[in-house]
Amino acid sequence: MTKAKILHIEDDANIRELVTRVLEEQFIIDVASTGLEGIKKAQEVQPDLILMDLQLPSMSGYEATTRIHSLDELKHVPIIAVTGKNTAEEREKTLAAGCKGFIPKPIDLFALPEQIAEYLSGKVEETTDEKRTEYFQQYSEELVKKLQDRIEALTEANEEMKRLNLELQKRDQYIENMVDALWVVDRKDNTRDMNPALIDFIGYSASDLMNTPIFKYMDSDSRKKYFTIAVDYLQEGKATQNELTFETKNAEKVKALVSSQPVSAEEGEKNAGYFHVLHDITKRKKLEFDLRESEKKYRSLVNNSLIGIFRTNRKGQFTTVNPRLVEILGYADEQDLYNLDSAVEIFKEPELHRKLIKQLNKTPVVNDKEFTLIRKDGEEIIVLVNVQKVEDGILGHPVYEGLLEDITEKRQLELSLKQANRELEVKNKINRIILSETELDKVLQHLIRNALQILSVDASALYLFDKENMSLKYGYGQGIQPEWLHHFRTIPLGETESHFLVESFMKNQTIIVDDPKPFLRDYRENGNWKFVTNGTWASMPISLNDKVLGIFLCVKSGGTALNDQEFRTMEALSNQMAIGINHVNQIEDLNQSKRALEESFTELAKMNKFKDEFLANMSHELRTPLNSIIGFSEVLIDGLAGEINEEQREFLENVLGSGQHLLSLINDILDMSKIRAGQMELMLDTFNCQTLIDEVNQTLSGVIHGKEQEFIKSLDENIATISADKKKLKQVLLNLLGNAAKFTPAKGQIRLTIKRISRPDSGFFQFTVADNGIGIPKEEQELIFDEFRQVDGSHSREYDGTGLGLPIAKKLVELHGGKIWMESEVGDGTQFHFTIPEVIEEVCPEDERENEYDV
Amino acid sequence: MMYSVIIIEDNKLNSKLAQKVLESANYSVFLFDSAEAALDNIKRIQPDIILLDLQLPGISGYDFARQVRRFEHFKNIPLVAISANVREEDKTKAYDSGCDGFIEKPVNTRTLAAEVQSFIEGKP
Repeated sequence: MTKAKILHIEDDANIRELVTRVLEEQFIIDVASTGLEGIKKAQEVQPDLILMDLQLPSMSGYEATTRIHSLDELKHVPIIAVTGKNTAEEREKTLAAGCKGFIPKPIDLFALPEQIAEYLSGKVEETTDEKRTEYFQQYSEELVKKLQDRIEALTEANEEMKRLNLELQKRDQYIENMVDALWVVDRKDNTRDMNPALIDFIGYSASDLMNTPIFKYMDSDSRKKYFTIAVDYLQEGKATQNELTFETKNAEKVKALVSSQPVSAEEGEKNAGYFHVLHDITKRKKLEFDLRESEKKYRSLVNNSLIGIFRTNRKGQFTTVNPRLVEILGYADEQDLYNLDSAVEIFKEPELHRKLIKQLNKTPVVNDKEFTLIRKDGEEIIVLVNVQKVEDGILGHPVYEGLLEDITEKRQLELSLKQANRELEVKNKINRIILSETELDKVLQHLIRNALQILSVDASALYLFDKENMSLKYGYGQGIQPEWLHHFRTIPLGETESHFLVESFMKNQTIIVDDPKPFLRDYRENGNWKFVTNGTWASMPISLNDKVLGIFLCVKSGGTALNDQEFRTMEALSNQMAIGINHVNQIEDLNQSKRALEESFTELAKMNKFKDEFLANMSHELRTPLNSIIGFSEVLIDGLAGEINEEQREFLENVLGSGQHLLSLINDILDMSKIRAGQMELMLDTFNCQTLIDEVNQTLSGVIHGKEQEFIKSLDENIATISADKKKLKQVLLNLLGNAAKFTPAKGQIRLTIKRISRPDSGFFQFTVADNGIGIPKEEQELIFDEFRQVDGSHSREYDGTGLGLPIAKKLVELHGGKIWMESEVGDGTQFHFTIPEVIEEVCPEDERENEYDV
Repeated sequence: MMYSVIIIEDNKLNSKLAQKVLESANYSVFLFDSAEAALDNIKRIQPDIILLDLQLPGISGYDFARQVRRFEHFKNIPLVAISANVREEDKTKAYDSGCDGFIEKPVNTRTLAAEVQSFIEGKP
């Protein structure tokens, strides 16, 4: 069956193309792009069907349809209109123009072949308007559905595009964020593209780099290399990797490992250009450099370390040492140490080395272990070792590496510090003993015992200067041979100056001898001197303020001398001893004075007792005759033995007066003695004040009336009773009033006033005895209350009296807790005042006692 | 009524003085120069008061006072010491021995009789 011929007249090439594609399999297709061309073509090919676009340039589809149908041979050829104007009017027009059918644009390409076939087979009848409408409706629906499918497909395609875009973006981003620099150049090596890493790497900006050749940024070596690479690899389309050096904008050299790859070009061209990925290896170089530098530093540290550093192999042979170790061990150089077969050779006790290795094999680290090593010169040193066992890198053999510190000095310092501490302790102890002990023997014992504790001597002794016997006397010692003591317990100073202890003492100098025998020449001749061994005999004066108190002797047997340290210790101890001895001497002196004082006190007490007894006896012995003198005078005066004449009476009064004066002397002396001995005690009593005045008045009335004096008594109304020692108060009043009467001329006036003075704390009575007598000069007023003042004074002779009256009055007032004082003008009388507190505090007589015997 | 007074005093002058003063005051006075002598006569005399010195040859005044106080009959007789020993301790010792009073020497002759009387009358 031959294919039907279809002529498609359409001005749009695309539609033409599309329609041809869908129809050409079933039909023979001819095409024409204009109406005129279509008419010609139709005449030429005699088609079975014509598809006619209605809107054609110059000649319209309608016209072309009419013209084709006007041709005889083409009168019946069916013409199907294809139009974008899908309106009823348009359809009418096409049908009117003679078109057999109507296909709306856009053409349903899928349905087109079938439609065409139907028209060819004549199945498509003349369609009525309704049919046409129905047809179009169906067709539209199908078309819409198909369009929807298409849209869906397109949407899917769109999504896919988006995804791809995203991936591309990601790739771009990746390139953007790449750590490595990306440098894209064209065939002529000019820069075309890059990523930020490159800008970072090379320092130039994107605009600087664009269109400039990559090799411009390389150093001359790398540039040459690049040209070779470019020729050998890139232009041949091969990838390659090279280390190239670039110069940055800051003229720094930077190294990069460059991976280069040609960019595939379109066909016919070898390469479009090259990709270069630059991996910055400057940092790595830097690291390598740093490593070398730090290695150098470590090396320097090791070389300059103050601690010895070593490494030995498993045999103990040194394989690495630093200069310090060589120095510590006193070897010539490192090699000198490497030549040792094993480190065990430098150990003082080789056993300890073996132990150390054994321990290291058990626990790989040993810290702060002390060893005594022997230097090359034979000197012993103490070292502190920190060592660990490590596996040797390649073979896994154990090797030992560690640090070694020379602590000899430190140890010695510690030792001397310990020694100093011990000395200090002992000194403190000695000080305590010195201050607490008062017996010389015990002090010396302690001093020597403690001295031996800190001094490494074999014997020591203390000799004390004995002033009385002018000798050095052995005090205490330890380790001293009895033979020595037999000879030298006492060493006289004068006779044996050649004795080195004596010499040391006399010169106040320390004398140290190896063999003391030549210094003992006075003794050399006598006896066996084997006990005087050779060694160090140190005789040190114990002196305080240039006064030598004794000798401190230390003996060290054998060849070792006292070292500086020991010597200083000895000096310090000697000083302590001086203080100790001095202290005890002082205490001894003090005790002696105390004893002397006690003795004199006892003596004094004895004397005092004698005095008391003497006074009592004197009193008794004087009173007995006075009893007769006074008594018989009174008896005679009173006429008990018959009448007497005036002259006899006057003379008897003289006897009586003298007797009474003598009696008052005795009484005053006894009172004062009692007061001074603190034996005067208050016998407190409460009594009527007026009664007291009356009694005093009665006692004095004889004297006062005799001189025709006026006695005025003035007692405050509010005073009724007084609490005091009545007898003593009376004694004071009698004394003051008696004096007043005595020193006031005849017909003078004596006044006694007693007032009560109130005070917030406690009130007191104030007694005033006033006269208008001769008065007392100022210079005597101050002394008037002093004992015995009147003894040598003119007053006593003129007016009689012991001079004890006022001092006794003062003491009696003070015994009551009162005060006594006076006012006087010569020629204008005298006022004595004294006070007695309303409330009297009883004082212990001991307190009042004068301290003459209190020692 | 006349009171009897025994005076024990070894000093003749002083006993004479006391005798004179008291007899002038109308006392009947018996003098003894020792305690022993007084003790021998005390019952016979039956005195109203005894004045005694403390320092006596033989038995002391203190011992005499103690002995007198042991006699039931003289338990309450006034005993007054007259002494030149005027220390407090002497006085205390006298009172402790049984004395009722103490008169210091030298004696005030003008008040002696009155004092003696008050001792006698002060006693029940």
